[in-house]
Amino acid sequence: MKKLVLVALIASLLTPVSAQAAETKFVGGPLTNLDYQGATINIQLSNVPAKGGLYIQQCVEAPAGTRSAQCNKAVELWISSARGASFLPTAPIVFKPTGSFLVGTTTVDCTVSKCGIFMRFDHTVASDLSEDQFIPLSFKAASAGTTTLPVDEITAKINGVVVTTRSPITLSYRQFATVSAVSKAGAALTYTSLAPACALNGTEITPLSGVGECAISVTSAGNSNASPITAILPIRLSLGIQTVGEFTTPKSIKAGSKIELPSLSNFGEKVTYKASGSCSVALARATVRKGKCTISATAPGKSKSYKALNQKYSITGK
Amino acid sequence: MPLSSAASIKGSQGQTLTVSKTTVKSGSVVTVKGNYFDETVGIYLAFCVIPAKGKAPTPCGGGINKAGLGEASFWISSNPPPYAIGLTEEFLPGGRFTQKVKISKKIGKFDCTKVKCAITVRADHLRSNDRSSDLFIPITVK
Repeated sequence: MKKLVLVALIASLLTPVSAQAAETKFVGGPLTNLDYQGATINIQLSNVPAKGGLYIQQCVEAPAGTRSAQCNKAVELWISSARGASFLPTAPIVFKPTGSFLVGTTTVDCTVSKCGIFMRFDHTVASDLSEDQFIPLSFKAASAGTTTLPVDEITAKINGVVVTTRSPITLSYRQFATVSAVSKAGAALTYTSLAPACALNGTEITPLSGVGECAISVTSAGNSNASPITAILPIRLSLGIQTVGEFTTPKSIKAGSKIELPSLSNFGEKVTYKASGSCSVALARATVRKGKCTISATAPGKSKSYKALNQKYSITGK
Repeated sequence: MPLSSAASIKGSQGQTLTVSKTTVKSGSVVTVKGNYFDETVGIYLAFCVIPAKGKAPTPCGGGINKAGLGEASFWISSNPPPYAIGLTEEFLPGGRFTQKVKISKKIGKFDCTKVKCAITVRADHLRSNDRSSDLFIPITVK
């Protein structure tokens, strides 16, 4: 009889749960009667789609087809093969929800509200809800004297634009960008690049690719007033704009004048010039005669990095 | 006057590697240029013994070196791990680099007048099993 009870208990602790549409299979426990503080849930995922990573969150249940805004940011996990993720999709995952948490100034008490584990695709496929699944949790009542330290709040910007997992920013290849962030609790912040497609030097971001995504994480160490938190700033990458640098031509110029033309583009490509109308080009130097002149500048692009250059300059020789 | 003309090779991802001369005296320096490399992948540029097919180039002359001129090994990465900041050379925009690599007759116990040696490129140790970035331009040492 004791064996039967034990088997039933283990089975209840490792309950396979899956949403109808989601491919990811969740096996984990315990899910019920969790300690108000210090709870640990051991999770093993399988069938995780290769399309993107996942977030494992603790949230209040939201209506079907929607995502809750009441989530415990402090315990969120990022499950991905990308650098900086909390766990690999194939790894044993340790998740530590709490009996209560703060959302803004509101305390969510999971002995009153219906809390659970919420799994969803990560920022790389943010708008895809197909992996959304909610697994209910229940907690024991809080013991006397339990207090909830508020989670720190990070406001982060890239090039002055607020960036969150819900609102990624787009940067082009080699576009100059800086990240800045503020901790509401005044805690120390650290910045990390989570993907090789974006280099991070201090707070300066350099996109090294023109396709795909990268992300910067900002971590608050927390302090006596707030618990630690990590904010992830997703960046979508686009092809770089190739130019001949700061070079410009005057609209009109004295007939017979010569104009030196840059030989390399901003990405180091050799620029080829062709003249039509009242001008000629030789050895990266244009000679303008009387009349209308068009100089076209072309340079090849680089796959997955930047577009080809195709710029035209119009000058009138007077 | 160079002992031989420049040589160039194109990699599977469109990257090009050019060496200023392929027959050189021991102790001389060749100019190595790269273009169209994938800037998200760090590389080692070195003068090495050519390995068996499918193996990483080793042994190689020199070590990780920031001095730039007259050495035999360079780590080129635009996104090095934190412990390596300052030890690497960055790619220029477009995935370009130019380095001067010193050619020596001996690499450890190997004699490059008797075994085949080459200017080599490989993915750095963060992708040590990635052979897709490997490029070799054989060098004859006089």
